[in-house]
Amino acid sequence: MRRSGIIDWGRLSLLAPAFLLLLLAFALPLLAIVPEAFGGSAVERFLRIFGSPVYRTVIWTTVRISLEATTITLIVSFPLAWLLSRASGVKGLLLGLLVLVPFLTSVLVRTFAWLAILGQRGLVNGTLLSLGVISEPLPLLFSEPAVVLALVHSSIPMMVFALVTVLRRIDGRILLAAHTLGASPLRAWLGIVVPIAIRGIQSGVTIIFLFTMASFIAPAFLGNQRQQMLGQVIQSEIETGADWAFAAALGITLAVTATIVVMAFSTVARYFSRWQRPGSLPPTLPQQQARNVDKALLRQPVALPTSRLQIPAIWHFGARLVEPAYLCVVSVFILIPLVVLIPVSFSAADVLIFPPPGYSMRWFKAILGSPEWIAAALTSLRIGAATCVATLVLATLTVLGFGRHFRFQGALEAIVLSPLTVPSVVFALGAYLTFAHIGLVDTEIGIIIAHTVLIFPVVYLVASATYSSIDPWLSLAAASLGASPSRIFRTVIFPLLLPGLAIGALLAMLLSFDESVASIFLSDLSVKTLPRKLWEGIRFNTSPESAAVSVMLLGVTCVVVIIGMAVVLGRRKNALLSLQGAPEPVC
Amino acid sequence: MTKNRLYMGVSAALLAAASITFFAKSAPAADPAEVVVTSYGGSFQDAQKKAFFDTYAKATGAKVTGTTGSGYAKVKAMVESGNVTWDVVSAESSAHANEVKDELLQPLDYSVIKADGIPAELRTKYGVGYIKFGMNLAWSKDKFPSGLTPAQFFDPAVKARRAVPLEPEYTLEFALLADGVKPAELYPLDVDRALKVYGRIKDQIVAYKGAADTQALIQQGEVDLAYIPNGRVNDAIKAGAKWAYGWDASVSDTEWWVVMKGAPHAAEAMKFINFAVQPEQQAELTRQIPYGPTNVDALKLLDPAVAKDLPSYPDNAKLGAVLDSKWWNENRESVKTRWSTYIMQ
Repeated sequence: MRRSGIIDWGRLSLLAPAFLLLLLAFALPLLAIVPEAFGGSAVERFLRIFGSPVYRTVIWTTVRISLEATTITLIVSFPLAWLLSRASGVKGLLLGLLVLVPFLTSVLVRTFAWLAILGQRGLVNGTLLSLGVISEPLPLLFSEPAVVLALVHSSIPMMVFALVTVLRRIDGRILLAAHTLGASPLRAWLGIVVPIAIRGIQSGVTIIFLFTMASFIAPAFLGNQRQQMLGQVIQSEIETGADWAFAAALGITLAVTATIVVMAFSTVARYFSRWQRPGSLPPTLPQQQARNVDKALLRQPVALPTSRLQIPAIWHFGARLVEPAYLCVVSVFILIPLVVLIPVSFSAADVLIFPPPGYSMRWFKAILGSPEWIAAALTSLRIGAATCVATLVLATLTVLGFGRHFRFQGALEAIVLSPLTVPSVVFALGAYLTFAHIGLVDTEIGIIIAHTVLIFPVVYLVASATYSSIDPWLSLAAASLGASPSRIFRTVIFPLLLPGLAIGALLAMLLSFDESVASIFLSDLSVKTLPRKLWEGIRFNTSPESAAVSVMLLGVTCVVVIIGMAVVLGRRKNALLSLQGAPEPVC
Repeated sequence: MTKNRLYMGVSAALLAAASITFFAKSAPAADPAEVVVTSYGGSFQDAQKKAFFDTYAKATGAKVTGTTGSGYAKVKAMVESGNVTWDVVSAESSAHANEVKDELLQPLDYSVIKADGIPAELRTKYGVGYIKFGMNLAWSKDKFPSGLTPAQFFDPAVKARRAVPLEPEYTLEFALLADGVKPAELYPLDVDRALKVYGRIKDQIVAYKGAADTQALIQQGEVDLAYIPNGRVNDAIKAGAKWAYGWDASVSDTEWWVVMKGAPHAAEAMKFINFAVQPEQQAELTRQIPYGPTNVDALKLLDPAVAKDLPSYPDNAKLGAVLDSKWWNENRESVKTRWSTYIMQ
C-alpha cells in the first residue's frame, strides 16, 4: 500500500526540482567548459599551455603546493580526528567547535589573517623581535611556506570531517588487542588503525587535494610570482577577461591534472591498504572473510617490547603529555588566524601592525559609515536569504522524495552531492562562461543560483541525517490511529525535521554569506557581495578596515554557531553529530 | 494523492517566498544620467574619486560608478563579447595604443570635450592624455637612510626585498637605465641585457600585480625597495611610511581617458571627460596625488612647490626616460612571454 506506483511518480516529482537545478546550473556549466576549451584553434591553445615554460611551471607549482599542503594536513589532522572520534561530552563539544568554527569562517578572512601573522610587523615577527630572538624581521610572507601554511589551515576542518566518520567506527579495543599481542604503539597505529581508516584517509586526501589544487586566494595574497597556481591564473584570466577559451582550457588542464593525481593516489592507497572497505564488508561467509585478511601479520613473531630499556614512569609521563601538548599546539594553530584579527581591527594605526600601537573604533566607524560596505552587506544578506530559502525547499523536497528507501538511492545521492567534489574554481569558471551567455553574470540571481548549487548538498546532508533519525514507526503508529498522510507530515514528520532544517537554514545562510569563489567570479560592477568587496579591499589596501570587516564576518559566524548549538542542544544531542558529519562529501 | 498535493502546496509556498526574496529588489527605478568609469583602485582611484567622480556627480546629479580592472585585455574582451558595461576607461599609453589599433574605442566628441590647455598631441581621435606619471625607484629610509642609486638596486651585495611590476613595461626600461643605457638610446630595448641585469638580484624580487598592491607592500613594510608610480609612493609617505624616492632611472608615461566602443552611456561619458580635463579638476587631482596635469592652465592653479614632485618638472624629466608605447605595441607579445617565463623561475 505504501509503495504503489503512483506514489513513486509523486516522489520522482519531488526529486525533479533538485535534479533539474543540478542539470541546468551544475552539469551544464561544467560541460560548457569543454566546447569552449576545444572550440576553434584548440591545438594551438593547449600547445600554448603545455608548450610554454610559464604554464608548465604553474602546473607543476600547483601540484607541488597541493601535495605539500595535503600531506601536512593529513599528518596534522589525523590525531585530531582520532581524538574527536573518541571524545564525548564537553571535550567532544569543544573539539567539534574547534573544527567547526574555522570551517564556517570565510576562506578569505582566514587567508587575510595570515598577512597579520606573518607580515614584517605581524604577530610572529613582532613577538620574536620583542623577545630578542631576532634583530631583523624574518621574510615570512610571499613564500611557499606561507601559502602552504594557509592552505593547511583551511584544509584541516574538511580533513577532520572526512576522517572522523571512519575513525568513529573503529572499535578502540582493537588497539588494546594489538598491545596485548605485543605490538608497539607505532606498529599498532600503522598496522591497524591506518589501514582500517584508509577509506577516510583516501576521501579526505582527495577532497583536500582538489580543494588546494583549485585555491587562488592563498597564493594571490601570500605567494609571490614563483607560487602562482592554476586557479589564480584562471581567476585573473576571467577578471581581465582576455580569452575565455584559454581560461576554459586552463580549467580543463586543472581538472585533468587533479584527476590524474587523485587516480594515481588511489592506486597507491589500494596497494598499501590491506582492508579496502572496513565499514561495508559484504555479508559473506566468515571463511571468505578470513581469506581476505592478511594473515602474514599474525604469523610474524611477536616482537618483544623494546620499551623495557626506558624507565616506564618517564615513558608514561611523556606519553601522557603528548596528547595535551598536541591539542594545545593544534588549537593555537587553528584559532590564531581567527583571534589575531580582533586586536588588529581595533587598531588605531593605518596599517596592519601587531601589536597595534593604539586602539580605536575608527575602522568600525569607517565601515558602518560607508554606504559601499553597507550595500555590500545588504547584497550578501539578500543573496544569503534567497539561497537559504532555495536550498531548504530543494533539500526538503529531495529528502522526502528519497524517503526511506529509493531505487538507485546511492547513485542519485552521489549526484546530489557531486557539487562538493568539483573544484570550486572549475565550477565558478563554468558558471561564468554559461551565465555570461544568458546575461546572468554580475546579477544577484546568477550568484544565488551558483550558491544554491554549491550549498544545497550540505543542507541536504543535514536534512537527510535528521530525516533518517526519525523513527519510521511513528508515522506508522499515527497512520494506524487514523491520521491522513498530510496530517502525519504536519504533526509528526515536519516537527521532527524542523531542527535539521533550522540547522540547514543557518548553514546555508552562513555559507552563502561567506562564499568567496563564485562571488568573486560572478560579481563585477553592479553586484558586490561582502566577500567580493573584501577581496578588492585586501588587494588594494591592507588596512585594518579589512580586518574590521573580517571580524564582523567572524562575529556573524560565531552568532550563527551559538544559535545552531542552542537549537541542537535544545532539541537532541544527536543532531550535533549529524551536523559535524555534514560536510562529508562522497567520493 | 493528498500527500502529494500537500508537498506541492508546501513547495509552492516556499517557492513563493523564494521569489519574493528574488524580486524584492528588482523594482525598476527611474535612472538619472549615469556613467561608469574604470581605473586601477587604491590611492590613485581614491584621488580620482575625490577630484572627478564625486564632484561630477555633485555638479550634474549624474551617478558615477567607479570600478577597477582597467586593462587592454579586458577592454578587448568586453567589446568582442558585445557585453560592454564600462563607459570611460583610464588607459596607460601602451594599452591606449593597442585599443586604438584593435578598434575598441569610440571617437571622442570634441564638440563636447573642450580643453585647449591640453597640447594637441594629447588630444587624439580616441583619447585625451590627462596626466603624466613616473615610475620611480623608492626606498625605505629605515633601511637606506642615505638613499640608493638605481645601480645599487641591481647590486646583489645590497640585501633587500625588492618590488617590481609583474609586467615587463617600465620594468625592463628600469634595468637598462640602471645599467647605464642612456635614455635617448633606450629603444629598441635590449631585452637580453635587461634580463641579465635582473639575474643578479632575481632571488630578492617580489613581483606585484598592480601599483595599488605595491603601496600596500610599502605601508606594511614588506619590501625595502620598490619601483613604483610616483603618486603611489607619495601617498604611502603621506600615510606615514618612512620612505623616499628619486627620479634617477624613472620612466614616465601618459594616462589617457578613452571611451569604449558600444559604451552604454556614451553621451554622458563625453561630458564626464570634458569635466575631468578642465583646469580646476586637473589641479585638484594633482593636489590629491602628485601626477602631472596635462592642461597647462591647471599648472597655473597649483602651488609651485607641488610642481617639483611631477614627472614633467625639468630636473626630474632629464633623469629619466619616456615610455615608447609604439615599441611596446609592436613587441609586447614576445617580450611579455620571455619576461614572464624568466621571472617565474
